[in-house]
Amino acid sequence: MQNAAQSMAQTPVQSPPRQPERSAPAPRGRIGRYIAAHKDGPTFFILPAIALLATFIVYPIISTLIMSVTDANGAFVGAANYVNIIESDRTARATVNTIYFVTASIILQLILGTAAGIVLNEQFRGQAIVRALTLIPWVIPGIVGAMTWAWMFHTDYGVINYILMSNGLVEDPVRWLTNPSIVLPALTAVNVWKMFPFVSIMVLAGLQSIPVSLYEAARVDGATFRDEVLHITLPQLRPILASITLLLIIAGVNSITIIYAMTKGGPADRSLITSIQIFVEAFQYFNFNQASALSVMFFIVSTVFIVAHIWLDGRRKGQ
Amino acid sequence: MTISTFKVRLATAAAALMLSASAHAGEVSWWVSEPGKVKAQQLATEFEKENPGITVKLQANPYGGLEGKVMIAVKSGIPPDLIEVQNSWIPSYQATNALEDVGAAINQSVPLTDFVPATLAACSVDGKIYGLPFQAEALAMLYRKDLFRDAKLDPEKPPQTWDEMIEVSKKLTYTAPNGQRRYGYGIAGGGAEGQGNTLYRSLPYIWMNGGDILSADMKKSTLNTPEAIAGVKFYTDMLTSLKVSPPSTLENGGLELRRLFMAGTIAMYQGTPTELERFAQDAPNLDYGVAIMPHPTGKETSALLGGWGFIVPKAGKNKAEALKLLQFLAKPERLALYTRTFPTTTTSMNLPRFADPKLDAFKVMMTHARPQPPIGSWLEISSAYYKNIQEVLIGGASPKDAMAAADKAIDAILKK
Repeated sequence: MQNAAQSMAQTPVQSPPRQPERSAPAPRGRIGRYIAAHKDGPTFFILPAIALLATFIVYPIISTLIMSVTDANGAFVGAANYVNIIESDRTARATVNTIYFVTASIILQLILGTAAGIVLNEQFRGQAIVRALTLIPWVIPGIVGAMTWAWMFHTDYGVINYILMSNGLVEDPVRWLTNPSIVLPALTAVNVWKMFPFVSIMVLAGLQSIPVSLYEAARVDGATFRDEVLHITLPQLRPILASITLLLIIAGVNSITIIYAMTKGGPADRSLITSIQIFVEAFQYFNFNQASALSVMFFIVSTVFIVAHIWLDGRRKGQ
Repeated sequence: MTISTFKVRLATAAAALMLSASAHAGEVSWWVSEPGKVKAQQLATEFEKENPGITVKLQANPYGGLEGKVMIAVKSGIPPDLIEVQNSWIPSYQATNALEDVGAAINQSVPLTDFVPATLAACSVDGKIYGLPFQAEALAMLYRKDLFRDAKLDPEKPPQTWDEMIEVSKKLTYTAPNGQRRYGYGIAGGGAEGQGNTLYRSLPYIWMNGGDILSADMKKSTLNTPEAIAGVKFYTDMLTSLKVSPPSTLENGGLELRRLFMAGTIAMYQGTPTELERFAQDAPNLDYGVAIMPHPTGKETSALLGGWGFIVPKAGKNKAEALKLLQFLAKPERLALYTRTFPTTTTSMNLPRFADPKLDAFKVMMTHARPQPPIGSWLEISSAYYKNIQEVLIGGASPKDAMAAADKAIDAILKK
């Protein structure tokens, strides 16, 4: 550690003026020669960062991979953990639930978020206050939002059932979080509520970078508000919507707080998603090896989605 | 923050962590749960006075996530010397052979024959005792006497058998003149601690009907038997066909049931002795009684024994001192002081603190209580059982089909 600190302190003093190297072609041959040639360049400055990345990202990935092919005592067991976890009927249910939860959440978040973003971009009185209020769901901690919703959804005490029943809209209390066909839509709604402000703020930022001249030109040609939205706003927003979608996919597959806090995946696994399944396998049943196998598969599937998304996006831009 | 200061901070944090985990010689590090903090402090001071040269380093842990925290500490190689745990966690810790056999040490302080046998069994794996049980309890039936009177039932004659239970529950289920829906019997089916709460309230019905969850050798599940299925059917029928349990049942654990009971929404539920203190605090005028759990006609009642104990990890640095503290804590008056429900030895149970007649039914239930099977994968097994109880409660399967599915899932866990 001391050496690193010293070299960091000394290198800038000793180093000759940096040579332009960005234009130089990548050197062929050994990495060692490359490092020798560039030891006064940026490589050494980023080494500490690389070391941290290796410690906190690469090492856990490798250790997960190893745990996924060994048993609790560290003996190699091949694909047994994978076979076990694939055969479990929980995995199938969790997969279907995850796809439902993520897809439905993203579609609704994009629609609602974009609409809110467009509205917030208009000039009206109290605009600043409305913008700030819109952010509230996104700003408050996930666990707080989840617990509040859980109470609002409660069958006997919940304010939602109270309103519905006192207005005579329903006869019997709705079991929002325990009716198997309602629980997942209800949780999706909470997730949409939590994340749509993020979409709307991103959209708002995107809207403000659209040149006003485009709208002025359209107005000269007699375009209505609807024409403007369809033919200027949305096409101009496409790149930013693409990156938001990517972020929402990542947030969606990793979201555990809302569902775990509200239902723990119940009743009878009806709202179990893969991230909760991994958590429960690892930290409640202490089956770290099967949890690792599941994590590896989950990681591969998410990576495929993300790579496919980036590739499609790149192709679209290329056209 | 530069990287070097970050590294220095990291090193300091790591050093602090190591210091906090390993104690100096003559210092016992003792983990207790948050509710026991004050009494543990009092006992530690007394122990230090009796044993000059030994200091006790006390750490109080919140209850949430405690099981995993202790598991990690025990596996880390530098565990605390004495840890308060729920007895049901002991088999999974001992699965990796991490605990010290403390039977002989306890016997030197208090004869093992003084302990209620089931409480020692709850701390044992393969006949060896791996914990000092200090607290034990079994659930009993709590019922609202005023609601019994409202429904023209005799408040001094709570139901004794399953048939009477169904009869009485039906009579207690109606809409009150003020529009409040009232339900006879609140069963647990979910909530924050749903799994444990449901297990404690439903498994005894299987037992008292002559069924069980695992075979005696713990090699296979026995849920797919007529006795077990009938027990599950009795429990789940309360919601699914009889509808004498409230619609929120799948959100209700022990905590929620107590709230519904105090609000008068349910007239009966299964509760622990600690509920009585809560009633005294939150609803001093509550008119309630405590009864033993109804059983099938001609059979005996049953209960799942709950309780807490102290374990000594094998890898602890100050085992001699830890055992000394364990022997100190085993004395009847200290067990009686530290327990939050009942103590575990006959001598301590006879102390005046436990003479309240309201506790009589709980004491009877204790004599019928059985510990859970001492098996490392119990949490996973009971989770498969719980999931299928919920399956019945949401109307996804009949008790017969659900128990067949649970049977299959548990057999798969046992084969691992």
